[in-house]
Amino acid sequence: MNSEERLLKELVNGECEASALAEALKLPLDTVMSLLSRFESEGFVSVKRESCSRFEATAEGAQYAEVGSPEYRLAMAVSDKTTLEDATKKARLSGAGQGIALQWAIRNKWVTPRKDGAVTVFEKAGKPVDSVAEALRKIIAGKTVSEKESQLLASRKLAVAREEKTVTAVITPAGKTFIGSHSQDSSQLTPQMLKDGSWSKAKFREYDLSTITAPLNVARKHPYKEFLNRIRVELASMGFKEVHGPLVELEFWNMDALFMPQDHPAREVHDVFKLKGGKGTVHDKKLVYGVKKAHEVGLAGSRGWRYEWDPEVAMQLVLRSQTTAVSARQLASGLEAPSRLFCIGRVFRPDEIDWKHFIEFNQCEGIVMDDGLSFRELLGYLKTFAINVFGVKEVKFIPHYYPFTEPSVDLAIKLPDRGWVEAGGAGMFRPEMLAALGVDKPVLAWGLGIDRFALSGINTEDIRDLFSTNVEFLRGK
Amino acid sequence: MVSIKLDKTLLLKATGKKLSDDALCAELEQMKVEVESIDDCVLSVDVTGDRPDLLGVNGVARALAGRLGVSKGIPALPLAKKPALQVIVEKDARAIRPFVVGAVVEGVRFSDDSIAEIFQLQDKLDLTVGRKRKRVSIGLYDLDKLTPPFHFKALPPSTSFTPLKSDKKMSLDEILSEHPTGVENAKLLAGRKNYPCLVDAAGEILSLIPIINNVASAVTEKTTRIFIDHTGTEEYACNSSLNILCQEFADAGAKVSSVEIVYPDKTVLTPDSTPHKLRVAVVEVNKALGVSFTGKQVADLLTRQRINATAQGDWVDAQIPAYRADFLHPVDLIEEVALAYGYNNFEPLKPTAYTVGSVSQATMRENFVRDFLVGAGFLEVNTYITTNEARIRASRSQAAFAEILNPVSEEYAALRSELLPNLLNVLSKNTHVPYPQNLFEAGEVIVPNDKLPERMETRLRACAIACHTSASLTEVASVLNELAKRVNGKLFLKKISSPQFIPGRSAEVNFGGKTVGIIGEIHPEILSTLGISMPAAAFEIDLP
Repeated sequence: MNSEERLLKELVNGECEASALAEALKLPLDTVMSLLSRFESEGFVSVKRESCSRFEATAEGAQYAEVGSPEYRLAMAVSDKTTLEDATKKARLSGAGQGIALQWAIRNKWVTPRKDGAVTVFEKAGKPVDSVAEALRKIIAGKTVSEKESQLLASRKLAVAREEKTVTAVITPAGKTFIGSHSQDSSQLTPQMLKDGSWSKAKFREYDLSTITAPLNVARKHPYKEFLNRIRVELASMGFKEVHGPLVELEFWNMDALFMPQDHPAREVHDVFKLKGGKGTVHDKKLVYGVKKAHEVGLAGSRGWRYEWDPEVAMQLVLRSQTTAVSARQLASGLEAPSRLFCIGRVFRPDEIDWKHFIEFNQCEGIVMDDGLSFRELLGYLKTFAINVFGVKEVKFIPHYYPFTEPSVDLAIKLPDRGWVEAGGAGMFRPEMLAALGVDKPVLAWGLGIDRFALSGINTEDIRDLFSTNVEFLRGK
Repeated sequence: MVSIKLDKTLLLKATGKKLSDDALCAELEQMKVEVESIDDCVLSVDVTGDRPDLLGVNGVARALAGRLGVSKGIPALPLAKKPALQVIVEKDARAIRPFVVGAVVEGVRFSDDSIAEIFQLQDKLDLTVGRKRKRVSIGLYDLDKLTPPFHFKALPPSTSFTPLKSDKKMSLDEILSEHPTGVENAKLLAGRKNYPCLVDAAGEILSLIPIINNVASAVTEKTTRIFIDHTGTEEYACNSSLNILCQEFADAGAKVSSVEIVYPDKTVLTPDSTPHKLRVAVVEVNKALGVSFTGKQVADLLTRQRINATAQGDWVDAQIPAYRADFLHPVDLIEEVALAYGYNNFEPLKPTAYTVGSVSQATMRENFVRDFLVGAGFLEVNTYITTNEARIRASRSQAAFAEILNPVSEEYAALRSELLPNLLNVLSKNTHVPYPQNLFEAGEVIVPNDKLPERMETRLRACAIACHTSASLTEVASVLNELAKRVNGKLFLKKISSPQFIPGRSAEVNFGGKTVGIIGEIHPEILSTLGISMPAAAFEIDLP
């Protein structure tokens, strides 16, 4: 039987203090302590940690316990008219002990001094009981003494109070079951039994099903990342191919290529994070020229925004504020029709930080490029997403405005518990934008608001919990 | 989205229809006006950024009347031909704000509500079309208190008048440095020697442009004649904004007259209320929307959007009111057709394109590593990419990282270039939680790299940390070794010294001949600084 089992067995006899356990099991105290804390976390024992003050005899006290207190010995040495010298000698008291002995013997009224001529003699008085030695012996034996006794011993420096931590363990029902399952007589199936066939005669003890479980910390994947993966799989199964793009973008890809004029409010510092010390470049000069033209005088039959487009502004580095930047890069890379792409990625926007808002979140969006695409087909996609991604049938289309799409539309879905909820935005990319990127086919673009649906998946209302640093929460406790 | 409040009584009166609250909200929702709240008197609504003409109650009523079929086509804007007054633009002021437009409105009858509506409209136009007054700024003045013609000229900073929201005379410099509105907008005039002002024939200052008006000619409930000016950097934006205000007054029954702007080299009559002309091919409408409307149907639908339209064979010719500046391309007309038809009246079409879908290689790689590490007993965490320098330094990282120019909080002013500092941060916040705490994260980091056009590389990485009484290099190296085996690769560890790890217990991780990361036992000084009283060992690798 190993030490773990022996320890649990010992505890079956009742509550036990750790040092007593160590003694009984002949194990070092620190081994017992670490076993106890392990069993505690496994739920097999419950451990009480107390600190109490405990008396311990001093060297002098220990000596008194052995041979009796000096006053007792003095008193016992006194018969009729005994001189101090004789009594001291008979009681074998030292010089220092003599004074103490006499003082206490008189105070206890065990001896009475009397003048006999020039010398003082002592006579025996009451019947002495050596309660001091008695108390000391109790302390040494680990028993308790009365308050009065302890005070007396302390004042005579025969015993001192020591702060002591006691650890007391009690076995739990789960612990008992554990032993049951391990002890020979309750027949844990062992390799030996299988080898020698003794299992056929063995009687297996039944479990108490109400107590067989113990808490367990299981590693698991992050529920939010799993939620995002489910959406990826859903979109891939609908025929969309996943793409990625950089988190640090040029304003060029994040805005200019999306036909957002350079004085557009969404380009200001309170709507996009700019990076320190950073300007990038776009190597494709033809592309830059196309975007410039689209903004300044228009492309593909447009009047354009009519202002002087500043390439320097477009080269500023920003944190991607919309995954549409990824779509723009894809379109400019020379996609072939038909193409259906999606991207799930982190975006960043300056915002208040509270339970509903954070400066980072994930967007899920995609594009469809093909001949003959129409607004009605875009609505068809949105309806498909409502059914396959959000699991609802009832949808509503609400007009909206995005600088890079026309017509633009928002998807609202009806949830059984919350009513109408906005679930995404979509539109057909503007001809100016497509022409600048060298695309000559219609492109449907859509984005789904997924974070709020992720929240209900992990039973929280606080958006920051999607990025929780609380290990207990992540363990699913 | 721009938030405004609309007076419900004024709105319904202008529409000429009785609507239940629900019906009203449903209609507004379909015309880019989203109702946030509604009570007996007031609607709080959000208007989309492309429709500044819906920032006034009469603008919304006008669009709603079209939607409900009460009135169609371009609304009337009876404009007195003869200019009511002149504004003379001088060269020095023109150099600062090149364009001026103006109008005079007479027969105004304000109530408390309607004057608040007008000021709200002016304010929101300054903000949106005006781009916070930079592109366009608007002034309204009580014309009865002024003597035309007006001069637009640059005046020295010592010039003084009593601005709105003040009770004492202030010099132009004082206004810019002390008056709240001046301080807020002072950057618009930064670096100017003299400041642009409107001055009347009697030498009375109307306003410091684009900052604040003189209190002497302020518009009040008693005002009946108003002079409106718009100054700015873009003539088109100035004119369309002026048209929005003029139409708003005209709809309320006021008489609008034009103003003559006399530049040094030309004279212009404003507002220019000529409708924009735009034509769209019927076939383009049908292709884009997936419908088969006739030219006449398209034209009819457009008139409900307060646009004049006539079908001409394969084309529809449209005339768009001057208060709408959001038409750049025929596709904008197509959206108007869709809006008038009603988005929810289209039958959604089942997707037709066939393409093969897939999850990306990067995602699959990430998921492979995540599966493996969970199997090895590591709990997944998901942290922010934004972080702070203190957290990075606490891990004694030497890696370069990017910083945000305009952070909302010092807590989130840097971008992670490694995952380890974040995992150490998680450990430091969970010292009271039962151990072992074996954690991992797989995710993107941002690494400065001047060779790239964006100068920052987004890299996918994984980091795992073991933290318990016997966490060791052996433990995490064994995990990494098993991972390498599963991708048929050979792992090679090369000893390095790093302040992040216990000396002699850290290595560079080499995989397939390439350095992909680091591994080691976390230096006790890092752990004790973070209040972690358990040993920890970690690795961090690229997932190329």
